[in-house]
Amino acid sequence: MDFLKLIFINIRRHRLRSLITAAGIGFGAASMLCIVSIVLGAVGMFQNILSTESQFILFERNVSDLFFSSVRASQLEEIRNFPLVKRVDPLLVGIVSSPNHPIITCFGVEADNPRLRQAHWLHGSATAFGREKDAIYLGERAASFLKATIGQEIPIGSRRFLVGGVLRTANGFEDGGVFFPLSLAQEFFHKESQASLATVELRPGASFVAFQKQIDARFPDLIALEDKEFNRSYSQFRILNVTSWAIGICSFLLGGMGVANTMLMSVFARVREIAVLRVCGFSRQQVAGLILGEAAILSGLGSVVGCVAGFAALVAMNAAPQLQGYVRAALRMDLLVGVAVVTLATAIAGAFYPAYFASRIAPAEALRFE
Amino acid sequence: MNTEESRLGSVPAAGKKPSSVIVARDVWKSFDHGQTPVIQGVSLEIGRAEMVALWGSSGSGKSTLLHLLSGLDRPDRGEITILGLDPSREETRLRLCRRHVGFVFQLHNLIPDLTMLENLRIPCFSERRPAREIDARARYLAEKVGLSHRLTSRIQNLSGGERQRTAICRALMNRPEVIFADEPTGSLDERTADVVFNLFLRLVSEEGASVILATHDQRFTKGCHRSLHIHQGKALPL
Repeated sequence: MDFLKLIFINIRRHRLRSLITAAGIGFGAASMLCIVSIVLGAVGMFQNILSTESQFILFERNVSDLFFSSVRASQLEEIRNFPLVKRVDPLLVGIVSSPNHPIITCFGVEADNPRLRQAHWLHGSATAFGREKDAIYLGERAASFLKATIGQEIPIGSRRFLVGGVLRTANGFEDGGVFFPLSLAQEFFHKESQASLATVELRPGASFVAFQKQIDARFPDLIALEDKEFNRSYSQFRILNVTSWAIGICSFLLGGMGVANTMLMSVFARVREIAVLRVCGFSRQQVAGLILGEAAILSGLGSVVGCVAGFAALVAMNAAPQLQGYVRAALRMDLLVGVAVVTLATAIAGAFYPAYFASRIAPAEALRFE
Repeated sequence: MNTEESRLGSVPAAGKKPSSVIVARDVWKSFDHGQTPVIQGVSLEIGRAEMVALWGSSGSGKSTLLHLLSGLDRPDRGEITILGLDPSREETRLRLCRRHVGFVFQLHNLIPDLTMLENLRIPCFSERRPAREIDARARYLAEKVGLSHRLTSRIQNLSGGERQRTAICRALMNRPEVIFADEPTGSLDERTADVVFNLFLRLVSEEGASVILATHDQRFTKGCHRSLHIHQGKALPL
């Protein structure tokens, strides 16, 4: 007699109930996959903004958010002269609004910033960046939602600017943002001679540790972190990651309650059957194993369905022009394993009480009522 | 032997007095926190290959006594041993259920989604016996009860009599030394009940098992070596 067959009997016996339970778990898995992928995509894009062709990110020590960080031009000038340093690219980040668009991210950069060279210019060119007075440069998606094209004047915040070009980048944030020449951004955001941060590229063979020590010694109010180190330690990324998993787990809790309900119903419906199995020599553990096994199979089914549905949703979101670059429609093994583990844990937790209940069924009590 | 006895059949005489397989001493059981006394100071011994009927009206406590004697339930007071073992311990009860005792209930209590053969394999689930051996035993018993052609049929496709015969086979799968039968033909019509009961008696006597039969039908007590009348919680010789 196959133990698995005994488990499958009940799944097959109540097909619709099993299907609904698996669908509930699948919905949780799909939600988790989508939420975490979107957040990871967003974090990844932000990391890309910060780390183009650089090894270090330099910003004000002890700030909770890079929007509040301030690195002075004089500090950057001095760092540029460090023998270890090859180049320093300041970046001023700000958020403004325009009619119908409450949030537009602005990037203040110098004309020789590598990201401008790497972008595909749909209108205008990287060489013309900053040459025209009061000109700004729109990411492709920003140009689309602002319905703006080169040569047009558009309102950004309290001022009007001339569109000097439209560029396409691989980064959703940049594509939905506006590039300002650094000096214009400093004037617009009232942050004269300041940047939010700077990316730093060292000369070949330069010691990373030596550079960090030099920054610590010369500018105690600044901190230089390697890109990977920054990605790990930046609190906003951590908060986003934790939040996404927390939301995902919350959706799983609902699935877990569904599992608990289904399994309890399943146990109630087969009290006599369980009693007979006990009479036939099944131990408490074997009876509990039947219930937990049923939950594990339902969670496995839900997990597969959820991952397929979630991935399909991600691909669809990825294809939507409005979300271009925001979603990472790639099946990451760590994410899939995470979703599978959380799914299984939820199902087992949900089935724990029903399994315990089933294992405590007293055969005589159950058989007394014909 | 009167006509009814002949129709129901009977087991051969037990011969020399068998050694005891079940011993119960001063067993008490009540429900509702002691408010409803059901078994009151029952003491009995059941010998090897002996067939004992517990006869009484509905609610007299015969099923409760059967559950107590089989170790499925625990007495409030008193002592019960099966084959010299104390069934109140879970491990012992499991060991007894897996190797030494079999059960037949009023309702067949088979798993409807499984075939007859798969149902017969269930008592052997926890015993590490070769599948070939288990299936051979199932085929042997199925043949004995005239159901060898139904082994691959699902339970839901069997008639009431066939189901009960399957339940009898299931009880005998592990060659138990004791069979507990609780109204084993109670859900069948009279004619089918007679046929199934005859079959039951013949099989268990062939297997040499002791039988404790709970029944409200006095006709069936005549096929047993000994009958006890269960009345007001006491077991009185009939």
